[in-house]
Amino acid sequence: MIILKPHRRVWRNALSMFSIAISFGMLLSLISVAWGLGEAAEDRSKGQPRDMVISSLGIVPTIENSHIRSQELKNDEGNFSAAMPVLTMLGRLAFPKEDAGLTPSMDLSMEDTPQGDLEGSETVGLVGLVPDLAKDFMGEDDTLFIRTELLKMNGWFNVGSDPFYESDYKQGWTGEIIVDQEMAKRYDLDIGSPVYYINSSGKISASFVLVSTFDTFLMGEGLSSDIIGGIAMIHLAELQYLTNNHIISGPGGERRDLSTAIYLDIQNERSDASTQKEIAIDLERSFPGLQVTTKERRLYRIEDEILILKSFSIGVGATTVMIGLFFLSSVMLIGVEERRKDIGILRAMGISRLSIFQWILSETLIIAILGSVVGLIPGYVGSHYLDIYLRGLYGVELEFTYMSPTIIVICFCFLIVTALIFSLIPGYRAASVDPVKFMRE
Amino acid sequence: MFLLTHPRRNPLRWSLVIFAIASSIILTTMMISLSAGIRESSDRTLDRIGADVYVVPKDLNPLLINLQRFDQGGSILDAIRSSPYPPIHFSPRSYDTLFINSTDLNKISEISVYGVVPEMEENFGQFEVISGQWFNTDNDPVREEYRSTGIVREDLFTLEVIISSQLSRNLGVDVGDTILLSSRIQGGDEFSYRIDGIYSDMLAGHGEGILIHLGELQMIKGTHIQDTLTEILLKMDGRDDVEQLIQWSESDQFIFGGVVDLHTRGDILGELYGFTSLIDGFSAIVITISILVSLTFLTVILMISIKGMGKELAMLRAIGFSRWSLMFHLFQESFLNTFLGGIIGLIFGVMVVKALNSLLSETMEQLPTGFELFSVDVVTLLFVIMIFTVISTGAGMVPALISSLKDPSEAMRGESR
Repeated sequence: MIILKPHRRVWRNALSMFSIAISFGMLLSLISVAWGLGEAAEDRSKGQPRDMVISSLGIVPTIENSHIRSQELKNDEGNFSAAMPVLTMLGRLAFPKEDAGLTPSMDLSMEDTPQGDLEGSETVGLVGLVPDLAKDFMGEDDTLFIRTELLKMNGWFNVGSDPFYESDYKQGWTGEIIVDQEMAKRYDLDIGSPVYYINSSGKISASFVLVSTFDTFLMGEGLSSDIIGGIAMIHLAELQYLTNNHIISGPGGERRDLSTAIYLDIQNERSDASTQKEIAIDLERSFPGLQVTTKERRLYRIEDEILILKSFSIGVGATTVMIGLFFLSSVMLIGVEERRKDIGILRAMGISRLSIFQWILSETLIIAILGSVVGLIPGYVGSHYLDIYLRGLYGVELEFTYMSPTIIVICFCFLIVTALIFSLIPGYRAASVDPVKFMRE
Repeated sequence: MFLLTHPRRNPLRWSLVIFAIASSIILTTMMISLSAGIRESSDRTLDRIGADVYVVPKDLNPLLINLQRFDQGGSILDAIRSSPYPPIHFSPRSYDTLFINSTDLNKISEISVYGVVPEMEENFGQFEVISGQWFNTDNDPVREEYRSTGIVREDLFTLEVIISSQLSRNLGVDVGDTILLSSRIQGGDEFSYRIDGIYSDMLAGHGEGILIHLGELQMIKGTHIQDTLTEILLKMDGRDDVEQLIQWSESDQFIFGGVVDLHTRGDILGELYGFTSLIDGFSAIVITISILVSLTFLTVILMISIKGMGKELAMLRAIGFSRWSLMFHLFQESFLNTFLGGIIGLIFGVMVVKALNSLLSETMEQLPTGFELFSVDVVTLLFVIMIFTVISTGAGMVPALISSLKDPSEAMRGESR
């Protein structure tokens, strides 16, 4: 029978299978990257007790009286189980070569600082928060989700409140700072090491003492560290003071206690979608002009952002598979031409057109299936090395690829359906061999 | 020549091969065009803005411009202007947000604001007035007064605003209308601004935004005391001056070296190219795999095809055709396939790239105006042609060599196997 003689075309079939395997492997690797990024973003976003965020448009802090407003929301126990104000800004930190033995200060004079004796300075992402309020947002594994970054805390602030705010920004400077592990390693920082803040006039204006570190997922040694040098966490009021967001006066009026966002955790019994929507509408009324983002909207936004990447990966992977299948179809067509004699005899013996058609389809499918099975190896290896490459490039411990049976099945089904479509041409050509005409020839 | 007519005998087979090569070329064109597009568009965008040097906060990645600020903006600009390499044009800017109250819609929204000095910003090309006019008042009276006397004179507010075309559409306001601006969501003083013109911002795509006088933005936001800026654009008199100014800014003569960094256009593009190199690596993998698949299949098809022509080739050898002549003709056949596939692929590739650019500019709102993610240029086309020539040569070489080495008497003796 036709398909029982593959040894006659062993090299041809082997090479075809090899090409299909490579195409399939590529499709698998690309889709694993697209899904990996999507899964990572969604998992991190889903797993955190941060149901709702009231935020400014960009990084400019516009929420006034954020301590009081957060406390008011927290007191609304019917709706919320936790609320915390957050201020996120870019700022510069400097690291002394040796422990100068300074006590933390909010107003360092030039004489107090070891000018010219610094290990280096970095532009970092600064996060200001109230430790006691932030603790309510911590996961069981001591993780805290700030903006798009998941922080795994190795310790916490000694002072839970925000005393500098309570004294109206006059006293109670704690000078506590927590920095990411990568930055701590880079500057050889230990618990108790001093860290300086450089103000927007380029002067060292305050000092902190390192009280702990945290591990991050998006910060590392690669491209991520080219963008910002690290992340640091301090008390909210202290960051407000340093970045001039504590009290601002001008013709526009006086603004106090500014933050970029208020994070909210909704009571479990109020967490259904329709109630969340109602709460969001109420919040939009209370905070006009600001964005109120629910967890659902956040996930939509993530899906929206990943959609372009997914479409691109699927498009490129699918095109590679199609290229392989165009060629496979052509090879099968040659096979049919070569075996016109065999097919003619089979037709003359009474084998139906449908059977001939099915045989050709089966032969194409066997090559495609074998190709995809073999393609699992380059697919898996490709996905693994893409993960290593991307981790190295960005220098972060994030799962860039995600390989699951579902993805393999989806890719497999795509290949089989496409192979079936492409095998229609040689199948039809084989089935259309006329035995009478053939015998006459 | 008979070999060139061979595809005519199997049009369906050769059509499929040509389609496969065309698909491969479309993919290759797309992948190469991606990073080329980003590079070219970035280069073009920066060229249209027209700044040779960007003064930004110290240690800030140039790609994060507008996300951090520096103080003493006026003094820093004065220091640069009095350097041995003064810029011919300069424009200090502050990027911030304000609340806009549209009385008709009774809706408050936060909006991006650039504070600029009109007569200075005019020399750069980021903002283009598409309706109405640029500011009536060219200078920045409030800031000038405050810098010389230290007094805030609210009566000097020009209350002139230029708004983005998107904001004009969304709020339903036009030139001559007024909008209320405030630094506070509620309870703050509102300033009634008259719309002088409508602009398009080449960096913001379809984004909403407004332009007001720098001094007024600083006053409203309360940053006038520190004279806070986000960047200063400089236009220099020639390439040499750019390099000299950068060198000067890194020396002790520039007293604000600890506050700001000076980045050239090349520095910004360099940062961006760091990211496009990632795309290049990815494109190289895709192109290599696509070529490998095409090459393997093309070789298989040509081998089968040549095998079927064993007798014809032997006859040609027997009547005196040299091995090289046969090899040349076999190359011609593989070249014909790849050439046709390549041409079709290039035509469709360009069409796909154009369709993608148009689709992305519609859907990606933040994309700068005129920014094309994909770009096919001459170098790209030459590269694509080179790739399919490699496919053609590679695919034709093995079967051509095998068939030309075959002994004609042996080939004539039996059916080809």
